Amino acid sequence: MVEHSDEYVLIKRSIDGDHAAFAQLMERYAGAVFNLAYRMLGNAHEAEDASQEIFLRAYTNLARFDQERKFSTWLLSIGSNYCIDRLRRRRFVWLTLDDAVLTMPSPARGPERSAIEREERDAVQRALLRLPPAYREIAVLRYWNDLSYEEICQVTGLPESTIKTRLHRARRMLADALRAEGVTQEEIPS
Amino acid sequence: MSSINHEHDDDALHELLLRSGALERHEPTSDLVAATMRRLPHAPPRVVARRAAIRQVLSRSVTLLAVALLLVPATIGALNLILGTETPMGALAGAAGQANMRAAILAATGQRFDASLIRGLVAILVWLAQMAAVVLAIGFWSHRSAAAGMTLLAAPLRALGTGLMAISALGVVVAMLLTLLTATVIGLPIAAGVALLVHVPIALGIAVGARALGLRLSGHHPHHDFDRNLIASASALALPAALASLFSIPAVFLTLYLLAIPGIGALVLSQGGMRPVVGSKSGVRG
Repeated sequence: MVEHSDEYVLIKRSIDGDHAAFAQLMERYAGAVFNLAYRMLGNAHEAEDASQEIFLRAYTNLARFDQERKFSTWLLSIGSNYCIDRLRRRRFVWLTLDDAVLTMPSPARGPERSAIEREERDAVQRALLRLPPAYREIAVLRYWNDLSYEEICQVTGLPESTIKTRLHRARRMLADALRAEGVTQEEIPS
Repeated sequence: MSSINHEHDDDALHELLLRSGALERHEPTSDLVAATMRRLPHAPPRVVARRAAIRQVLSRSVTLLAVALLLVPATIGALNLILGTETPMGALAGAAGQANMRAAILAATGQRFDASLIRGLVAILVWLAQMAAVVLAIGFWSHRSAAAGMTLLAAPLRALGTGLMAISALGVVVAMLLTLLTATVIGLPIAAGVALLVHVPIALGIAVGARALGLRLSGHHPHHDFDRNLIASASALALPAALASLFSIPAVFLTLYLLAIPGIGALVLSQGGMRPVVGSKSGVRG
């Protein structure tokens, strides 16, 4: 509760034009927004660019933020809508020069991190990118952002039944994609 | 039971993802917040939102106006053609009109350019105009023109094919539009505007071609946008059209269109320079 009221103070100060307050909000949610964008768009460079755009959109629309809602779900809503729009505009999938040289460092990389585990992690990301954007969005919000069904409803604006149906299909597609990538031979119950 | 199954499947997949390390969070660069702050508008959100709304209204109004300026005369022109009403171009097609047109064409293509000095001056002007177009295009769209140039180097045949299709499609659309617009008096100045505007992609295509040549000569790592390799490439690319002007004006346009084809194709493939095509060694991630 204290954290929420502190957050709402920051939001109010940001609405009044206090950039330092908005910077603090960005510090809190930069990781969540970046990870959402990375999982949706599939490359780090684009995720950085998208994260900036998402925060700029959040700033522009901050005066319309409904304080009854959680700021995190509102921000993720802007983020997922932006990523879906960006994916729709993307007619072709190209690599940028930065992708050719940039590799995402694992936060827990150490000598003990095996090549197999790294390959598995990359295979999961590849499998995720095979999902259509609408299903990818639900999967990312559920498994990578740990949102409840209700929170996913708030982010996407979809009814809970649709969320569950899409999540069920996303699980199946992800399971098939993971098997195709050779990550698991186990049958994931559907 | 269905809800229990959902939860079970959820947990199973979550466990799998956790085991594979796929749920590990990736941290953004430390520059993300600072970079966003630099781009943040100075005004408070309410003012920014109001300005954005005004910009959107203005942009939509301008788009509507532009579409109306094209559609209304084109529709009137189409009706004129269907109803068989005499059109401005039709009047020109009469005996007197034909004589006047012949005289104008002869004047434009060669009669007034007998003097070699004048021809030489025209050739220099054509060369300078192309250089100016390349400088402007690269000056305003430095990154995008570089990205399109890299795309042209990475996929030259695909760029050529795409450019051929694009310029053919553009030609067909513009021909149809000009036919309709010139079938009415109010459409004539708009037709002139369209005829000018349609050469903007031609100029961009040539600029991308010059950029690609310059990148090739620099080994893909130029120190500046306007290094000597780019200047040399632009000069070389501008020569054919300049030389063609010594013979006839239509030859100039034909040469320009042919030279622009690969660059236009590269612009299309790279989505206006937003997403360059890199060589296949890195693979394409999907």
